[in-house]
Amino acid sequence: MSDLNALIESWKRSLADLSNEQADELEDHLRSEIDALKTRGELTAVEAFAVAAMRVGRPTQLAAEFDHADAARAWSLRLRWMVLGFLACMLLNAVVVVANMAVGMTLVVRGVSTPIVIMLRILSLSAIIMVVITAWQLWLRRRAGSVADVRPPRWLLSPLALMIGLMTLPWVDAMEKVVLGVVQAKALSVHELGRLSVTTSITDFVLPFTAPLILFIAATTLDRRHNPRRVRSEG
Amino acid sequence: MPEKELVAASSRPIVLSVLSRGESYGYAIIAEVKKLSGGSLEYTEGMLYPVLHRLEREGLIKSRWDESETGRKRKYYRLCRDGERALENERQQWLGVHNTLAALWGLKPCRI
Repeated sequence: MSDLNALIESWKRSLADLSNEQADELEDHLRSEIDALKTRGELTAVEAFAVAAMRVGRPTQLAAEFDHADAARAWSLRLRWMVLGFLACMLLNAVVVVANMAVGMTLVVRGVSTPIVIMLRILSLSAIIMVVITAWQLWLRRRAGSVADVRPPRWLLSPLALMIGLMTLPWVDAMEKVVLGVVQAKALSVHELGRLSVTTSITDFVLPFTAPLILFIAATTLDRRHNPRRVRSEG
Repeated sequence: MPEKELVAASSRPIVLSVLSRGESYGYAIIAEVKKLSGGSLEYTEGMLYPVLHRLEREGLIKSRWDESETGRKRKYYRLCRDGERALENERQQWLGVHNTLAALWGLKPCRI
């Protein structure tokens, strides 16, 4: 029975796009279906759960049907996510810009050669992106209840969200100016400032090409470490 | 099995009619419609619950949470006054369509 309750709890978590009341109502429906299947005496509780969950429908499909029927609620939810996404993007941009500039400045002041500074800045940025992606995936998995239902939130796909994302760019520029003000206050020499500026420009230019490669290698390495069985079967 | 559009269009009068027989809940409504239609109308959960919620927003039905016979929390729906009027309106419209088709096919018309 506790197994069944755990399965139902996990299933209910996958209905995160629905309101609590809608999820409660569907839970009662699922349990009624499970009871009916068990009464026939052919299925165990877990088997009955699998059949009932399949009949009730995939969470994404259910959410789409509910959204279609109540567009006002769906848009108010989307708007909430967009605002949260906007704030998260702003915060993330601030962290990335400041951290990357700080890394660059420290390396330049210590006299590290320009190619090494560029390489380390790309690596540090990739590491930040990796941490963000991992945290996001973990959050989605926890929210979805199962890996099969992991999907990007719909607000990410919305053109409005893209527009809001683009709106953050001037703000990032402003943050860079603040960081440059700090750099000037540190009384860097003209030579050091020049090197910092060069490494920033080159990092910004090559990052779109190198970061995906670094992230791919890191993700593959981590995946193999966490799934040793797969490595053996492949080897 | 009727076309998807016909199933969707008829869901409103059917749900109102089921509730005109007395208070009910989602699972029981689906089971009753399936039984009454001889299995030809099988509502999905993704279709029925949004219909119930829309009818409630329109003020045609009302809901309340109560304990089921097994002690579980369950949402029950019942028809309101406005729902009764809406059902009468639906009845006339659907019987009008039915009688037109019945006349064309040489069948006996129903009393509206």
